[in-house]
Amino acid sequence: MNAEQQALVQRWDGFLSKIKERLDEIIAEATAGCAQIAAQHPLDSLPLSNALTGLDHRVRQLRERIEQTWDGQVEDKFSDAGDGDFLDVGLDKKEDFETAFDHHWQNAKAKILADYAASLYPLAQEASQQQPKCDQCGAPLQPAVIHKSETIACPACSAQNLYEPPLAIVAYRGTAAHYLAEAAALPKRQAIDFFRIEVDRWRRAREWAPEPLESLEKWRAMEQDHWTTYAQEKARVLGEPVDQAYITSRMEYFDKYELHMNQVWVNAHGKG
Amino acid sequence: MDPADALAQQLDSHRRHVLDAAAGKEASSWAEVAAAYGVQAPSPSPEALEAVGQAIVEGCTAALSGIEKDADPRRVTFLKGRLEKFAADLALAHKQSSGSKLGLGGIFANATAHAGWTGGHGKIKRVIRCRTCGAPQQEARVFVCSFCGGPVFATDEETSE
Repeated sequence: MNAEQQALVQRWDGFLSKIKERLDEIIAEATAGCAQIAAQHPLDSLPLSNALTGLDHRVRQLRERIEQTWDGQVEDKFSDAGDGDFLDVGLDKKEDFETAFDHHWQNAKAKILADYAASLYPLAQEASQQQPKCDQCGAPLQPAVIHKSETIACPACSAQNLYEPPLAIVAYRGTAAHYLAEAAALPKRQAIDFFRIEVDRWRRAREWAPEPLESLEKWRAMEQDHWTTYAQEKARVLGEPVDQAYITSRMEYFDKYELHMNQVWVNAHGKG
Repeated sequence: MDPADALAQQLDSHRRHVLDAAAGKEASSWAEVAAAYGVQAPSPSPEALEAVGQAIVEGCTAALSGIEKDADPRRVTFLKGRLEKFAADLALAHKQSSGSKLGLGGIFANATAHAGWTGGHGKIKRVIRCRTCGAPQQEARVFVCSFCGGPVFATDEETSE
């Protein structure tokens, strides 16, 4: 790299580090603000979800500045300062930064949601100790399972009671289990992101040669591992068997929209 | 529109008005707006916001008792759930919107605007009773009262009245 190229890379790095600082500030404020909302509304995930939607938008606006600056002010300079390989240096730096940016925000969100989910556990436990009672005569009722709505005939007065599970249990099983499972599977999703970048660069260095079968098989195994981790963690949280049908459905989707579009894969394995 | 929903909309507009006044975005000063709700407060402190919020809740609760019989009971229950936390939420929304260095305060303030539906959870009547004699339903999916033989729910004629 000559002096001009080094100076250019340094300026680009400087710009990216400013974006990173800004993201760090947003994450710090988002984490504190979301913790406050979660404490204020411990059983209602809607305010937290609203806040994260707004924060997502703000983070997206910040991320768009990378692309805008690259397109408007940087790409031409990298093109003019060297051959195609030097342009690739700039593009790779941009892609690496964007991936790190996305992962940083994903990790922050996953932590916010996992903290919220963990805070629901003691509330759900406390709620599970409550004895449901007949709304007519006050006699104790015994639901088949504590987390599902059902109609229960009172053993004392025969009144039909519409049993509604306590909100803490509904929230824990409905949203918390998903958040905790997503947080557990996130590192595997991010490993897939890195792997796909690596494959793209491998192909680019070989004039966009097709991805080898072994690589596609590795990709499929990583996807399978990701969805299995998600389903296993969810099953652990809920105390239920692993939902194999869910894993199968996610993999069918992946096969259909990724591998079945790939001639190397189809030639080797067909579309079955 | 259901009367309880109309009241909920008024609650939203009071919320916006008060938060805008606290942020200095209204033509009237904060003190004037607070005074209009019967609160004497020179600055929008958390206590002042909570006091104004409480005044709004009291007004809304009074209005709700007037329209309750004409409103959908579920909408009423959910509105009551919102009112339970309204004053504290108002103070928190202002704190969050004024404390942000990055302009994220509006996001946090808006996030809690419609919180409170969970206040109604579990408070809805859980035994279906006969409209005529008040006896509880004795058999699931049978809607003829086993005591007086009357309909458990309103008939078409009653509904259309």
